[in-house]
Amino acid sequence: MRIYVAHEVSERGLAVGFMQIARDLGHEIVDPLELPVTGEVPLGGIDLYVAIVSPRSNSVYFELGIVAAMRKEILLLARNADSVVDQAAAFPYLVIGEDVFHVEDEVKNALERALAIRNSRAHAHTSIDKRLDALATAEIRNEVLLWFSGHGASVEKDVTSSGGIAHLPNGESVVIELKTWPPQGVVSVESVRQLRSYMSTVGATRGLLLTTGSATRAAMELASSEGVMLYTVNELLGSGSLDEVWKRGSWAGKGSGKKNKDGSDT
Amino acid sequence: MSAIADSASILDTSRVLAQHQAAVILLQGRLANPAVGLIRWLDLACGRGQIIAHLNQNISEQGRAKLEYYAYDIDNQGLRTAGKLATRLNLANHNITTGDIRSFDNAYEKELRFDFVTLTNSVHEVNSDDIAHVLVDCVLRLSPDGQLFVYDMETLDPPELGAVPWRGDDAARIVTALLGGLGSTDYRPEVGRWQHTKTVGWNVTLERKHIKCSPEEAADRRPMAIMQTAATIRAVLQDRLLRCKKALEMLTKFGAETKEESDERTRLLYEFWAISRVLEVKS
Repeated sequence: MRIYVAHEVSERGLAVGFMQIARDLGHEIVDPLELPVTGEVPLGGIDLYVAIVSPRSNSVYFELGIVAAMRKEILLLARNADSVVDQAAAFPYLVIGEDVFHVEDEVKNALERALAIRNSRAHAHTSIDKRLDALATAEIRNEVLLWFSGHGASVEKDVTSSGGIAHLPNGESVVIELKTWPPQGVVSVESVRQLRSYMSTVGATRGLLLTTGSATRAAMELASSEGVMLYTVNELLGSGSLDEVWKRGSWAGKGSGKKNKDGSDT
Repeated sequence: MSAIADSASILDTSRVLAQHQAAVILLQGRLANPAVGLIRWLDLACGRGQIIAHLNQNISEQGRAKLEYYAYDIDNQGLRTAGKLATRLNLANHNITTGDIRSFDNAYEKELRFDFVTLTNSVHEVNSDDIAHVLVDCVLRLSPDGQLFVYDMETLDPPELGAVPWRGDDAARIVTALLGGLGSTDYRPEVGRWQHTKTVGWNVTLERKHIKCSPEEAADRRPMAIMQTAATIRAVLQDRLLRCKKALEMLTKFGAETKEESDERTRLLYEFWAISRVLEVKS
């Protein structure tokens, strides 16, 4: 896999350490400081964009915005949580402290997970994904609600939700919540918690959290224990019927190589 | 509001917060009514007078002359600032009262009714045990055409130790219970949710004229309304504590994978402390 390692010169030490770990795993590294001064930065051909960020990483954050718009997989590495600006808070990140080798296992896990998600996304990049790439959040919401109405549900855009409510022919109600920005953003526990709370309020029997990105392991497990289904938007739109959606169960991003904090497999 | 140690209100007249703007717009509508000669406004938990700070620019002298302003908050420098602001506005009258929000109802004459009551950015600071009777008393203090405007944030940045921020859907459940207790089961005020830069705000506006009971009936139903509202608040808190624990367990097991989730973990810890404290006191 080709991994681009964005960093400021001041973070060169951390970057070199990370590149060594990634090379040892057999990945090809694109080091921006080794690129010719003139010529194009080869962002188009990379599989993963790793950014070592600090509050002063202006050029890295600028480049991150471009890469996000290109729908590339992203992993942030930071000395501490405060190094990540709010606008980048939904991207996967790893706090590495002062020495990347002290957290080598965590770095390897994070890399493995990022690349597994990238592979599943690349593998499943269907015509639906290509169409979604061009749509704004409101348009994706309309597509989702149209999908439900096309399968016999009556739908309403609820003011307290960024999705809507679908009333199914069998009398059940489904609260639908969309997380579409940034496109490769990661659904976290709070989204699951909010949806579950909202389900109680409106008396819905099912909750469906849809993302164009992925979900953290904690969010996936919480969703599973709270009766919330996690799906990617394209999985839903590619489904042939409501039954197919319920039978398939929650999101396919499970088992993508993430390990528990104690190092055991999930 | 005795339990929250580190809450803070700021007065920055150079910018208008959406919730204060909304309150002033509601006031504008009421004051413009030619049939109305006087509007009594209770600004509950008025802080430093963040709402009246914008009256000079947005409500005419004639409008302000129709306004009787009642400010209520705990005794602090902020209330004195609100008093000074009110003095400069040439209002019909103003009354600055200090006290704990729990006993605001005792601070005014029994017969006094307000046309407009505001409770902005404060519900999270009110002890959860006291919210039911504060809200019910706010409704009972409304004139026949009176309006209660409540606005608060779903999360606080930074979090405040001991504060319980409520979500819009929590507020909807609580208000439904309150109205049910007053015997008004068909009135469902809208609960709005508003995206702010770093959080989400919620609002609800209760109109007294839609609550179909006389002042006497409302007074009779007060204990029931408080009891039902308090029970719903307790149920909401128990529900939230359970969910909070589950989320913290997942984060303990898997760690936070995004900055967003790391910030959420901090908020969850604050929430866990605040809610378990409330429920512990109650049990």
